[in-house]
Amino acid sequence: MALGRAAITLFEVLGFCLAFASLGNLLLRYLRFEFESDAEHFLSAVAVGLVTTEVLLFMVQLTQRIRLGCWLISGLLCVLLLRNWSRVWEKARGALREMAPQSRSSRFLLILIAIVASVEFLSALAPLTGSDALQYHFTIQKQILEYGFHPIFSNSHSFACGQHHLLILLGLGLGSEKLSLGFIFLGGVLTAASLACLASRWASPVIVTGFALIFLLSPLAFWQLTSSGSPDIYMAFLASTAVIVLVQEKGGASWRQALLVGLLAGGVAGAKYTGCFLAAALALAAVIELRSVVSASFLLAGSLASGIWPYLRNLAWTGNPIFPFLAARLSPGLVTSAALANMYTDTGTATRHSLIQVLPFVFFAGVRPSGAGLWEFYGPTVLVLAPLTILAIKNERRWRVLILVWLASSLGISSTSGLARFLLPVYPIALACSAAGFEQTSHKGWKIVRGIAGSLLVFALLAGAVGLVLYCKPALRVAVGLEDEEKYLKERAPDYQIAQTINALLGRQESQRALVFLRHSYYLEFPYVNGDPLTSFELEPENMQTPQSWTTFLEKQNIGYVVRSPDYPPAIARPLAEMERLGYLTPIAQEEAQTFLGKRVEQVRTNIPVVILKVKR
Amino acid sequence: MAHEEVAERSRVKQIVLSCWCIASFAWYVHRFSPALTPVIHRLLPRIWH
Repeated sequence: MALGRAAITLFEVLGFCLAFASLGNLLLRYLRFEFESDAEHFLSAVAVGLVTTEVLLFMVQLTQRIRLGCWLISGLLCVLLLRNWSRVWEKARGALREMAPQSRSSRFLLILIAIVASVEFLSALAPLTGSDALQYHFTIQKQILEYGFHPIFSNSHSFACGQHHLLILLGLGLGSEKLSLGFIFLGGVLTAASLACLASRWASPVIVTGFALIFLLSPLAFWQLTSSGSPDIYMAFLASTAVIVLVQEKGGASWRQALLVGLLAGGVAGAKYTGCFLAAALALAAVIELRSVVSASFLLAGSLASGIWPYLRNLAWTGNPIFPFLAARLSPGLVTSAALANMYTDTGTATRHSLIQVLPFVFFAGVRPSGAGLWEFYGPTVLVLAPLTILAIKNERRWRVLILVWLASSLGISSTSGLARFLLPVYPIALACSAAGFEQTSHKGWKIVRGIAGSLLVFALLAGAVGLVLYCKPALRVAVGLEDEEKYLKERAPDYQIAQTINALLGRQESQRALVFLRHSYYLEFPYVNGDPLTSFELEPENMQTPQSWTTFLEKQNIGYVVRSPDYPPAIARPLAEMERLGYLTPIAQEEAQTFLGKRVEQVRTNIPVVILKVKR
Repeated sequence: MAHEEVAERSRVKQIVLSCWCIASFAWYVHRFSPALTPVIHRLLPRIWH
């Protein structure tokens, strides 16, 4: 049963992938842009079709008929796929032919890739447990579907949702959380394929396949593909395909090439604020290589057309395109100090970073000053092969573009955020360069270096494989039906039991809302307002120190219930406790729930009381 | 340049590059050991049983 559902999701995801390709193909045909290989053509068509679909989904949000819009867009994609099937299939078949193994070792590595991808796909379909996904990646899309396209100030991260979150919206809009999760996995596979395309410009098929496997077995990559529930992996796919388009030399430099690079760079910038560094690096590389004002104008137009929408949304809602950043200057009345400070800490923008601190990030070996975390673990490949990569650099367009994009964007991202995981979009580009570095050991006959570096990479691969098995084992058990989904969620999803307890105690439909102090609210079915001062812009603790201010706030927000689980946040605990004492809040139900003490990775659980209090009117 | 000199240079280059590979790999593992050690400690008994 579970495997059958997984097979259906795989079929749906593949269908959407081909449909994106058919939409992208239309545009590529219109632009008459030719690629040097079928694989590059197919991947670029998927990327262009994807960003176009995301723009359409954004427009659908404005109509507020979002579920209907999701079905209409899916229908349109189906029609396009049926009409252009022969051309799309021709390119897809050509791409598969190019990937066909030439030797026994290539075949062995391809089989390994197929096994790893299958494990990752099944794990990706396990019920959602990623902390950030439960806080905003999925939660905000679910709220948009239920309550419409409006600013959600009670979730400080809601304004950080970008273009690729619309794929999650599409899946949920079509009624399938599995499809949304499948889209994230698809992003990972497409990224690995783009990396292989880039690396194949320098390296032999065995090395190319090996580096695609290294990518899929890098802990940060498999976490992003499987349980994270984050669509950031699409930034890596679009950045790699933008580079693929830019290094094409078949038709000569043209405005068409610039427009395509612009569309894809816009797709990266529209995903996340740090994507702007990548888009700027891509634009810089394009300007240097294409050297034409017309091309630069088309690049700018393309990037605005595909990536400006989340910025315009934030501008319309708050007067600040990069809200809540620069809020002190651009939208001071809309943020609260505690939530803003917490967001700065969360995104690493709270601390300044010197060049010495930033340098390891360029080689994917950077960690936060507070200490290394597993979510920053890329593996040592880029660092170990760094000198070989430097020795392999030549003054050719492909090298100039890749190195410029890698260095400029990783320096920009790490100096402003200092979070290694934000470098994920650059990782495939760096790995493609590293593949070239490793390849030259055979050209130059450096057998010793090849032997040592190769052994270290195999060791890293084995460690990654062990990590993947251990990490994905529980998710795999659920995905194949060996474990109950409910039991899995109770054990793994942060705040799941609290949310379920609230659902059970309050029921599902209610005209009034509940005030909760919960970071992970995806599984909450009751209408709610998040009142945690660290993750909500709705209330400033300084102004909420009297029962009167609370009464006004609860009235204004149409809040009928307050949920205490187990205590109120310290900054607002005193006035709320006083309201309980004065009888403004009356306990009406209580139940025990289990939750994590501290971070989930530490796996320390504790039982807490969940108390529902009725607001006295 | 004599053939021996070229071979010698290549050998030195290979030794330097090999040393970098090993040293950087060890440094990377050391850098992430605070994050890895607790996980390994927690997982080992599970694998054992």
